Amino acid sequence: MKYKLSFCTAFLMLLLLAGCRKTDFAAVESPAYIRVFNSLDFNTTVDNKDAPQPFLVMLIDPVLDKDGIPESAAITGDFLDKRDAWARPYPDAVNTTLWQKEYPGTLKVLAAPILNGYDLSSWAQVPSGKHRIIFQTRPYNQTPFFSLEKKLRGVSIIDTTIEMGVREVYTMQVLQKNYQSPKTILYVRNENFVKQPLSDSMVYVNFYNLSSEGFFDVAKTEKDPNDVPNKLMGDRMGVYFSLTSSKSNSPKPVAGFTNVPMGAIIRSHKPEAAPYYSFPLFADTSASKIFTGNMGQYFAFCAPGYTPDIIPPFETPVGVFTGVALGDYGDDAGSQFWPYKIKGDLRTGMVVSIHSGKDNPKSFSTINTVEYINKKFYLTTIQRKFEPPTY
Amino acid sequence: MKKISSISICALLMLMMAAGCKKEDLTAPADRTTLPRNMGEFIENNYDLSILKAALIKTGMMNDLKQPGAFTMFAPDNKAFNQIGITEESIAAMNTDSLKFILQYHLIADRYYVSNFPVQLDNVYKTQNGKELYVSISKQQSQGANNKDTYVNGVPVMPEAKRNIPLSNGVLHILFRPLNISTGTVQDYIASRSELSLFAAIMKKFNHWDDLKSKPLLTVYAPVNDAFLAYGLTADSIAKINPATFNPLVFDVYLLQMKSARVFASDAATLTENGTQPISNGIMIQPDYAMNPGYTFSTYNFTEIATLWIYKKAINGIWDVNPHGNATVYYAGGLNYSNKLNSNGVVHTIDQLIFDPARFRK
Repeated sequence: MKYKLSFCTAFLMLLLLAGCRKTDFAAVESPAYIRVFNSLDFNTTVDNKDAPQPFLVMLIDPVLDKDGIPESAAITGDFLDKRDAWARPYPDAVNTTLWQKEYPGTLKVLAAPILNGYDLSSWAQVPSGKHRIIFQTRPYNQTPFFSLEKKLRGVSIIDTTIEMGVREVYTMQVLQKNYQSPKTILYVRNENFVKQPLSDSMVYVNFYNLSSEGFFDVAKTEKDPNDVPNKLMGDRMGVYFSLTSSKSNSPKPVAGFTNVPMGAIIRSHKPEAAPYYSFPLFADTSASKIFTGNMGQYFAFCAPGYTPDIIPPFETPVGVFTGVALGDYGDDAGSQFWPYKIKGDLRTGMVVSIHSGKDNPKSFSTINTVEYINKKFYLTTIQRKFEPPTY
Repeated sequence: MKKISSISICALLMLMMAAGCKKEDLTAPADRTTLPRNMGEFIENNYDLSILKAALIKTGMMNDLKQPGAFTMFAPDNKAFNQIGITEESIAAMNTDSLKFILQYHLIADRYYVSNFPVQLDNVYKTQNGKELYVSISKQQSQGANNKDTYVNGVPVMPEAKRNIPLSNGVLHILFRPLNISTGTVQDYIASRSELSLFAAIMKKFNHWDDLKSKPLLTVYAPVNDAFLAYGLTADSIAKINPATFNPLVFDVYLLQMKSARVFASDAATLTENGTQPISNGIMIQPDYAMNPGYTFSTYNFTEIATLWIYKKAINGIWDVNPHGNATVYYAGGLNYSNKLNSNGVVHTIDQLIFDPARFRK
């Protein structure tokens, strides 16, 4: 009987074990890491209402039927809406939004690991090697692409093949090729920050002007009365930065960091990583060396021959000056001095200040990319891995 | 004792096995013992749809609507028919084939609730007569998916209880006005209407008459004869005009400068996300004019206000009201003679000229 009982117990244990949830962990063999933005920004008007709309689906290795309509794909990035001004340093894991501001966005995909200390959780793992990529327009609704009727599956605006290296980090964008035509291109940039010895006491930033060909020449002839002036970026501009620290709720300049020359920004669709420039994480010497305070960063872009100190404040000629303010800059309204403002989260901008270890908050530097595309600024922030908080 | 424990262990075991089974999410089935009526019966038994009923019976389509389906019908009610002067008596006098052609145009295959249409302009659906109709859903963000402003070829779908009527073989949406379609070209349509004869004469004079037939897609805003007479343009004086002495814009504007466009009166309203209709949403008329087709449909008293707003861009970049003619132009007869879809484009009828011809003499 004893034997019987122990047999029963063993069987019971077996059953208990067998009842556990069995999970197949997804794995990608020799992965590449991608992050995709839809940088198209045309508005639908009565004039262009028949043109394809900038609401896309990305299909990697699609299977097409005999009429060229996609039937399935190895990887699908659906509901790809226009990108946000700020691409966060972390994915919105708990967000269940269907329409995406980027790929992978809120999708539950296999994210890239922490690589060389950088948190790449906003990048998705995909198999490396040669892949066909199609971007297709899709209707504005909640139906997944492959559940749409075939006639609603839109038109293909990009159909190309790219080769991705093993464990390489790529940022891809759908861009408008020429400012006066709706033709689009896929811009694939192999990011090199993971391979560089970047210091963790400096905040890094690089600049791209990914505007369409002929953007400046055509855009300067357009005039929109609702626009504040100084929104146009020339094809070749110098970059100057200023830092502020928030003191008694208003930003005050940090001594020694006003209109410091930084580098250049050149309009190009060449898929090359631009050089990184930097400023110190603890620029404000009055702050502790743990938390640098609520910081604001200002980037001024001036045509050759001008500096932010000598630009005329009013009636500035078109294409001579534009600027973007980031972080804790105070008032949200754009002005001719700071026509673009991107606030992000107050303490998760170019400087991430967050509870880590025993310090709350503790400041960390980031790697940033500032992109100017056809009258809009976009900021992408990449954070480093940091210690979890201890309580 | 021993016996009991081994029984209880066995029982526990059984219980665990049962508990270890896959658990389905069970929801109690809804009562599906009664089906709603079919579309044909619904129309037959609705006082507001008696003209539609008469038309369906006359064309022999009523029986089709009692078949399994599914169909989606955009159904004009009696008020909608009365609006364009159709009564039950006039249905009896109509040509059966052309009536059938029009009625079939209101019927598409499959079951579409308003929330099934993508939120964008001009979702194309093939109708029962083979022609395509265009369903536009407003981008207005404050409205729920089934309450969004909906337009079929520029004609509003009625709100609330008059849309998304579920039937056993489809869905019914009540339309504010019957759809207006013909198989002829834009040229045929303009030629067929006597109140557009001066516009036709102008088009001939300015060598655009053949374009109204040959261009694959056009949108035409055709002013009625009174509009020309108001500026002293009669058949006689039009015959004497020398086109070379005019800036061509003066009459090209009515063809939107031959832009390939299918513009319905409600389009600009459909595009607004927060209730305002920015000028930049409108139609640019080169070099520096803009035309914004303003439109509102009141769901309170079921009236529509449609106006063409004409602007000119001043040197400082600000849009001014059109200084060279009329700044606001109305559609002739409400919109009863507009949103007319022909084989190669849309025709709207307007009651004023946009530009004062005298201001456009070279």
